[in-house]
Amino acid sequence: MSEYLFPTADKTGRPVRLCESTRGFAMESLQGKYGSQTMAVPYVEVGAIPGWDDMCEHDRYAAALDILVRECPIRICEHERVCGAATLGAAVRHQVPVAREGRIIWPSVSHLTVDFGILVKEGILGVRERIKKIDTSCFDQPAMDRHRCLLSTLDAMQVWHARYLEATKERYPHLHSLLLRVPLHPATTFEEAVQSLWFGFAFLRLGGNWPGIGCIDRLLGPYLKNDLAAGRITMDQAREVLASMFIKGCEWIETDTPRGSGDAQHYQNIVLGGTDQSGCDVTCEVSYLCLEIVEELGISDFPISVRLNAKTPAPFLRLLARVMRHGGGVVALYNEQIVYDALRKQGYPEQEIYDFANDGCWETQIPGKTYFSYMPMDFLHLLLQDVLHVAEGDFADFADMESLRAAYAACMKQKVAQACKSLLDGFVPAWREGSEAFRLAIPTPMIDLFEHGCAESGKGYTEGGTPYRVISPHMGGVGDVANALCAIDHLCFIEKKLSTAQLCEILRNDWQGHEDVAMYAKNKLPHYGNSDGEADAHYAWAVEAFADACAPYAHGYPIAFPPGISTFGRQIEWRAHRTAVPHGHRRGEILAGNTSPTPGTDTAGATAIVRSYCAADLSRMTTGAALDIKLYPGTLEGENGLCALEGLMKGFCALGGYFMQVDVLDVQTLLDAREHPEQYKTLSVRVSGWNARFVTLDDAWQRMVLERAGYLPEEKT
Amino acid sequence: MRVVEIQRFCTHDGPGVRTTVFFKGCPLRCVWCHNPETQKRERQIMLYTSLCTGCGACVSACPKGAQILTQSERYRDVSLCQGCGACAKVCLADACRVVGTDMTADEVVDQVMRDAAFYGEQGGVTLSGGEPLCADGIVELLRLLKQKGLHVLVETAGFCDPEILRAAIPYVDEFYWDIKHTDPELHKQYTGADPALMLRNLRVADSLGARIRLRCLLVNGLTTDQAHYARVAQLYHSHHSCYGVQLLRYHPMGSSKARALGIANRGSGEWMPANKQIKSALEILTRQGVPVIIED
Repeated sequence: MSEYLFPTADKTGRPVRLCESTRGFAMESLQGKYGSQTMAVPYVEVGAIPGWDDMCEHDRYAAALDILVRECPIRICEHERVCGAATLGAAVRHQVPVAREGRIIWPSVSHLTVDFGILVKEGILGVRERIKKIDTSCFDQPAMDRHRCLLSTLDAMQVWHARYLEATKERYPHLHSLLLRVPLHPATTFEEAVQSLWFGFAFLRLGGNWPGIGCIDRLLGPYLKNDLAAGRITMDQAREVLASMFIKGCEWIETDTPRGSGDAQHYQNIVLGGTDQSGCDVTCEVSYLCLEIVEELGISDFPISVRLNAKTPAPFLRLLARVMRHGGGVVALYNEQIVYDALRKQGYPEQEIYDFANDGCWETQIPGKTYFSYMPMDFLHLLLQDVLHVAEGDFADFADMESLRAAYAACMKQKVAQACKSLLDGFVPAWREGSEAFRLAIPTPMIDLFEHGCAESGKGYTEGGTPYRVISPHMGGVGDVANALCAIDHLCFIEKKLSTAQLCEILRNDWQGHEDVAMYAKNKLPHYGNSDGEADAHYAWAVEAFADACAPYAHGYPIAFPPGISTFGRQIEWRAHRTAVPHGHRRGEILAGNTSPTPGTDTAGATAIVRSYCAADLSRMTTGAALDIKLYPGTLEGENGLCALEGLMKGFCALGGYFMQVDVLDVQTLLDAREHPEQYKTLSVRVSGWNARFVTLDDAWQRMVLERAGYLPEEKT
Repeated sequence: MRVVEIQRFCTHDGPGVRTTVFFKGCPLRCVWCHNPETQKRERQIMLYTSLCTGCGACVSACPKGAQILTQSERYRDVSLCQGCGACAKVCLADACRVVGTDMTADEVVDQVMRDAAFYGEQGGVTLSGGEPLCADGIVELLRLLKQKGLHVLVETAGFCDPEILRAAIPYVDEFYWDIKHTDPELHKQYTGADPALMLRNLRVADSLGARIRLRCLLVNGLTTDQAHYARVAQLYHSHHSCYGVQLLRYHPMGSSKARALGIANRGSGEWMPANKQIKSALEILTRQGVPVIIED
């Protein structure tokens, strides 16, 4: 038996495979020991750098980075098997942790998965040689500045590396011997590959960036296979090494994180499994080890997404089900076939789509080749405000559902066009004249090193350097849009109880005096999430109309605007500006998240939710559409519980789902954690695209999680 | 056929992901019944007074004057109610609900097949109740379900026409067969029926090679005597088609449903078995070579 117990919703407990010292290391990291150390030194003060005022921004960045890597704290933990640590607190807050006179200079970069394979396969020296060979003869001055800055960034990485080399010399001979080879040189063994990957990841995070890791099994799998074949390592030894990387990935967890939307959201997603271009499934020993590690330790700081397909090996699916049953929502699922369809429709070259990963959260992208961001849009608000004019009192009156839909679709088109054009104006000022020249932006050399195209083009990550530039308009509130449209259709057109103007007036008055109609809408009308054909048809229509609205901007511009569906918890803040809704809810209620049903309206079980969600053509939602499913631990007990999870996953794929996050939540445990947060420091829940420790969520976010788990706590007064 | 409910993503009613169809109507009246709303064949109304807003719409709608709403009282007079559903139709708060929907076999199959994508190799459909083998047209439904290639499981107490059982068996992959009590007198006392028919049907099923799991509900003080489990072991050994005995715990969930139905609530929290009683039954059965299944 182990001294260290990690929380689980599975009453049979978690397996113990790792050695006790590794488990102890995990526990102290999860409880915030290293995060608190990190926050103790927020940044490096660069002071008065000579000639600062005359420097270009890239030279300033290089000079500051040089000081950062020389002065940042070095941390080597007693039981770590991979070396390097992002030890500055401002990085945890999404900033480059250097300051002049106490003021942070630059923000940092997130929502991307870089190609760490560049570092693992080429080594710093190889990357340097490649960059030096780039033909810069046609580079303009800013491009030359960037080119110089890339080489300085490699210098900085070597300075930082040399400090770890020195620090490990006496006490940590094994780590020292690893660092003698990597990341300077290409990795030759699994251990070297893990060390090199981790070192690159930690270096980017040291500089405040939050990259995803992406398809780690595709990267590390061949190294482990070779080592196993040559007898250089056992699976148990490999697990210890990889576990060390997972544990060190928790080094930004603080003892007392300020409460908000959760702490474990540094977009460090790992993607496992899936097929390659030849149609072969790539699941390998590394895929299994990753899941075994999270099965044992419950670490959620690397949110894992698994690419499911018809060839996903049965033992891997079973392990996946076991991990999911522990709760915490650590692993989410892609239906690879729909993602491939979506990426093909977007026009990505066929050879690219098999490499898909995500932005560190779940929005799909071609890793190491994509600039990505997204724009959240509240489509329920759009319906209530811009179509129905509920708040203004200038109520719209529609004769039939068709004219309402037409008005709404036109409104979607206008809003999407407006948003896309305004972003194009911001990024590519002369796009209307056919120019593809991006506006100069802040330096991002640490990212540019691992994004294909940046070094070669002399352009930065946010300056059009990557082959693909994507800003994805995201439809928010789609579940409520479906329910609202269905309610309007019934109340105003099918049953003719009210005109749309009368309904708007009632909504403006927050259903006061018409509580009976509100109750009727809530309890008697069909709702999305119950596999009801009528409600689902409204949902499918809304998804389709949104895809059509985005279509003109999805291709053909310096930036592509392909659609996706999410709220990422914004339903909490959006409630402030939403009025009462036609499906019976009053102003201020927290409504549906992502592509999920309105809380409390799905009564037909998990399979009905999946069927409703799949009623739309989700291959048109290029960057994804997330479905959250909450299950009770009691549903999943025993062998049959695992079969049930496997069945749910298979059905999700067969019916055409895109992305699903299954969380297993024991409401009593969550309630207890609200009362006694000190006893639940490591209890993790899936928030949206990320996980968070439950105790780091503020009251509104905790309530949202509880509501999704089927429990509706009283509002605090 | 009259259906109470079709539940999806059921994980405790057989292997894999299952859709469970609960039929209305049961020849037994077990005192511990978990699903009292399935006993009567007739449509019934369930009234959840905690949801009632006191609007009075049901009082006006009821043609029989069965809905009683005064300043101090809110109930439904069961002796007057004919289950027509007029109250449920007008109840916006969903406090009045009709139990019992008439469906054709094709409609049931259609509902079941909606979740086909989730069943995988193991899952399928479970027919429960009530007593599904007493439902009208049950053999035809079973035939249609089997035709779809589904794994079909029937939860029964074996109180049905033996001919129906014979006709059903070819379409059923597995039976979960309730043994209410092995003492004939106590069986009659607790369920209102003599066990002879059940025992006869069990022999029929056994002789036709049906796959059978026997199930015993542990109700503290009623079905926890050791002699009962010794007899269950004998029953198991004398039927070769039985592959094990499942022990289930009584829970008083039926009480709130009985209240909503307005019928006498015979359930009791004291009937919940202690762990040591489960252990004792387990030991008796195991000692006699019976494979025991316990799913909490």
